[in-house]
Amino acid sequence: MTALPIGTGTAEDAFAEWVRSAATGDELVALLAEEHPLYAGRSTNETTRMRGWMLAQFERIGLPDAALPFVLEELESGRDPFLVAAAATAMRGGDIGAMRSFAPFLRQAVRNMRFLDGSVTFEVYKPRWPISHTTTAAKELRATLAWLGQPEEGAAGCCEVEIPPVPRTLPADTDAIELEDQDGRRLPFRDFFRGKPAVVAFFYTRCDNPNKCSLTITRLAQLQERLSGVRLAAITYDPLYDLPQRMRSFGESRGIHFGEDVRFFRTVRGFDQLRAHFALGVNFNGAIVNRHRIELAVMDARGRVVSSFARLQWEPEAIVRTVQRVRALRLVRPVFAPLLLAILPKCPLCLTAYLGAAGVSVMQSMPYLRGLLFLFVAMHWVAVFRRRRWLAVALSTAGAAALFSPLPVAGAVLIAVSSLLTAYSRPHSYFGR
Amino acid sequence: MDIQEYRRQVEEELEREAASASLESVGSDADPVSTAADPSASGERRIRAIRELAGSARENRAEIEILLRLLRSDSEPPAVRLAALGALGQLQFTSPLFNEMRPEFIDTLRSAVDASDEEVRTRVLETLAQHKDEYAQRRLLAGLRGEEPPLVPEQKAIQFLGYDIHAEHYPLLREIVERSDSPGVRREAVRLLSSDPTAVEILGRVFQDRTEHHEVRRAAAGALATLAPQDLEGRAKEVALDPGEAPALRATSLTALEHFGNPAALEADQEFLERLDAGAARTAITEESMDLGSGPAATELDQAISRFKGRFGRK
Amino acid sequence: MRTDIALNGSSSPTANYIGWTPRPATIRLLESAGVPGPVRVTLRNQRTNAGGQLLFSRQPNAIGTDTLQLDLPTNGTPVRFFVGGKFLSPSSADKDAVIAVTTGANNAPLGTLPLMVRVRKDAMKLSAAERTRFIEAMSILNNRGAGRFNQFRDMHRQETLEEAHGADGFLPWHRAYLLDLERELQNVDASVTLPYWRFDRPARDVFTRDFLGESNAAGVVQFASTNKLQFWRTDNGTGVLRRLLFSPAASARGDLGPVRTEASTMNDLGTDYGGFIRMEGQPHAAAHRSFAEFLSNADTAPRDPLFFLLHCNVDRLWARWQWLKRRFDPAVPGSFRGSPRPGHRLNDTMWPWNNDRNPPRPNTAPGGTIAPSPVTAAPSPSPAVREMIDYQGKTNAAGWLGFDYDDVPFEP
Repeated sequence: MTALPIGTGTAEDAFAEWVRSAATGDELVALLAEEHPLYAGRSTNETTRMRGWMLAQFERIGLPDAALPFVLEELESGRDPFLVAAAATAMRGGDIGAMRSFAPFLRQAVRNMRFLDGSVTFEVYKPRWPISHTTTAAKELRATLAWLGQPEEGAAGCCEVEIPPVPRTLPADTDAIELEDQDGRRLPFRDFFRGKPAVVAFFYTRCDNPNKCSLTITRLAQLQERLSGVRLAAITYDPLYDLPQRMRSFGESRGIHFGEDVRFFRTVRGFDQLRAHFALGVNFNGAIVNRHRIELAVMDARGRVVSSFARLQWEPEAIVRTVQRVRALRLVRPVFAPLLLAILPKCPLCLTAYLGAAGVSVMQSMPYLRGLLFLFVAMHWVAVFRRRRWLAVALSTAGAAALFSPLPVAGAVLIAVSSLLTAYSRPHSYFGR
Repeated sequence: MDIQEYRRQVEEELEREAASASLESVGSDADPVSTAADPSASGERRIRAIRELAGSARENRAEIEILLRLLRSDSEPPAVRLAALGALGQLQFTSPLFNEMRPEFIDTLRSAVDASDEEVRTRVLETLAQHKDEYAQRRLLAGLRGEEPPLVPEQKAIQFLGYDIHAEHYPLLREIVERSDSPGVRREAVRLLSSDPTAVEILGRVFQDRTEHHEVRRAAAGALATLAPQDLEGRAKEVALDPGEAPALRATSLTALEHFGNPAALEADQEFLERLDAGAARTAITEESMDLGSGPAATELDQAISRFKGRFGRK
Repeated sequence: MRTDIALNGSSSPTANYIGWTPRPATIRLLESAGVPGPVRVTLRNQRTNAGGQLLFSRQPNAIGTDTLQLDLPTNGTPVRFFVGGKFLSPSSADKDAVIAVTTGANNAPLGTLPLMVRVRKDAMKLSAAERTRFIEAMSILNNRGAGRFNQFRDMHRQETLEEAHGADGFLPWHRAYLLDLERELQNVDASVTLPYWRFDRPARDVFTRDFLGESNAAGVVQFASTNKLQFWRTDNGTGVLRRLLFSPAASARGDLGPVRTEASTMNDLGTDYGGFIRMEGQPHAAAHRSFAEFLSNADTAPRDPLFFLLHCNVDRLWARWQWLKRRFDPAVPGSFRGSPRPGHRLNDTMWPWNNDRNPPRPNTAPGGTIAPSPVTAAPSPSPAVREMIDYQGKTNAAGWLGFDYDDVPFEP
């Protein structure tokens, strides 16, 4: 990444001017990651203004694939009229054919904004009322649906997207992390996160977007009913404020039944290490969270993050499947771990490739996944095809054929190579970082 | 009382009241839409008409739009604008249409934050603040920072920012606690600092600062009860025992201990109770204790002590 | 020989709370072996000059009498009777109403049962002790912003408004909401009920430092240093903001003039629910708008504890209207109408207690099912609108919700 003319401490007006006149799509994508130092020490309002302003540019400069998750996130969970209206306009900078399948997100946003819509403008940064040319989130959402030729009525909601662990060259030192649970009991990080697989979500009790933390904990409670033999935890982004009683009350009123293997934590030491270990998509103004994404990690019995769900909402069913896969993966990890590392997705389309490969690796242990695998492979092929990387398309086609032959591993390798080819073509980051 | 007899009495009373005046008969206007918008009609008549619209506009977009127009216009008398805001406020509870019209409502409110009448300005900003409105917060902050003339008094500005946890005011609040001459303003700043865990130190200092107004110190006790309960417990015991302290603050300290303290630990600390007893008789003669306001506070201290002893004292 | 009484289908002391509705009870003889039977006993109020007063009857749905004679078999077979509070003579302290059981000409004592005639009262008429108990229970539930009260705060927000407002479910939803909160308060202190604030009358004693606080010119509510509400906390701040647009020495009024009086609410809104529901605007919303700050806005209103007293009065007005117009039977069209929106029809369950998080309901449902009560099994954990209507159990005894108002009688 080249050095940008903006960063920590850049004045808002200068930022806004640069974004409108000079920034490229890829530069904006890099700046949308919550943990970017650009946001450190800024207020939520400022963060919101900056993010909305950036999103709104994509209509003009084109929407890079890597910006799509940020757009979908706002549509799915956002409740600020400025951000949601910006996301709706941003989608119009994308490829109309590719965007069409995201109509349910737009409808979901219409629903989310029913009680919360407001008057916004993208003509001036920090406008001063009265102003004449205003729009609303609802108007922009309807305009985008019309642009897509999609009806306003229809399926709302979304799909779930899973991403593999974020690569870390320097694993954080989790030994420095000390936790306190909802009953005030203190323990080192490893005491809870070693020995059994674990699912950990992140939240804070004073999050005022019920589509984020409140919903995360509500779903964690549903997950609790469906998982056994796995530890469940939620860790707060706001350790100084979220004292034990506050976490307990927040969990209980959303259906969590606390127990030895189901606990909420705040860090009493080592929050920075925690933040690094999980690559948390969060930033702060002093002690106050100014912005965060939805995030959840699945960890193996050795305390390593093996899968994570971020930005978009997750369904408990998907986590259950992932946990089952984590258990199955233990059998084949020695062979496939390096391959998996190699094909870490660096773009939205490699994601499907990853899914395809993962599907192969567990097929032996979970034969009922065959149907799912077929779907993944098909998705992979379409994804690669749309990239117009013809060698990759050829490899993917050959790989697909091999997968269903007596040599499925060869198929997986071919697909992986195809993924790598596609991945290297676009070195930008995706989903979080 | 016999229930039939009670019913008869109630019904008779209702009949009497119906004969005297019902809300309907007082308020009815043949054409409330025109009257409300008619600048030549008396303020009283217009307000009555607006009151009717508050009911009838529930499912009538055009009537809601009239109310928005009245609120927006700076040439309308303040009482009419406030009535329009009042009617819109009611419709927010009752109107199934209101959600769709929220952007227009917000837009109208934003356009009215510079109203020439202070009460209109205050109520408009209050409404926006309750909706956690970014524009209102931006304008309030600019006023507090001295970047533009303040729209409302400092105390109200701080309160309004407090509707939103994410409003960008915490560093400013700390500064205000240090610099403001007004105890009312300092108290509001301290109340909101109860959401900033990094303010524990300054809150502790305010709580123990004898030169600070006792109401500001009570607010600091409330903030510490949230952010650092254990920290407060130790400090509260000291203050409760100190005859040189303001009675109101001593009573607040005891109430906090009684309410949130660890009951077993408090029962075990009989020495504290004894010292409390001995100290109760003594209230140092200070500027504050001679103040007219100390009468009830001194009584409250006695009440707090006897309640505390009743709860934690050995029988 | 002695007697044993079980009330509300339970022998636990936690079930010994009643209102005006006569509740089923059983009495049986113990240690009566060898005694020639049956034994005639008399039930009466142990004290007639203090405490809650009781009325006894053999029949359900009947106003009873001050004393009742029953013949009890000596083999211990329980005998059924009904006991209700005597209208206008409620308890003022826990279990201050005592059933005394005696026998024979010399009134030999056989047993007692302390219980409470627990009804919701006018906040202006509470004793100092009643005020304090209410305040303390609220404060404990709030626990400096970290307690169970948060779920009640989260139930009543901007994006949940449609579950509870702007349609016919407004009254039933808030009845369930208040009941849920009252039961949580009773888990802290069983003698507590929600008081109501009569907004159409002067209520100076409500706005005092000892009770719900006194507002200063800036709208900051000041509490006595002994008042635990000084630590009340919601959302982002400790304390309450409440600016009265009227004098506390007068009845409530806002920028639009006075809040509709109780007489007008009873007289001018008709005899059917479809007309009566207009009360959501006047007096309900008008009462909210007689304040600036927290109470003036639906989203922030539950941050002020006074909100629950205001709504308790709204619910009382409905109860009183139901009594005056005889509108308790959900099967009678005048008792309820129903709007098309989910949650606002007679047989719809209500969010959040139904935990329905599918559109168009909100996507979270804080708080779970409605708090259970030791005195009654009603309503069901995820109540339907229908279950909120006949709160006294007049048409269905099993539907008794376990609360009453001091000035709304049970009339068979």
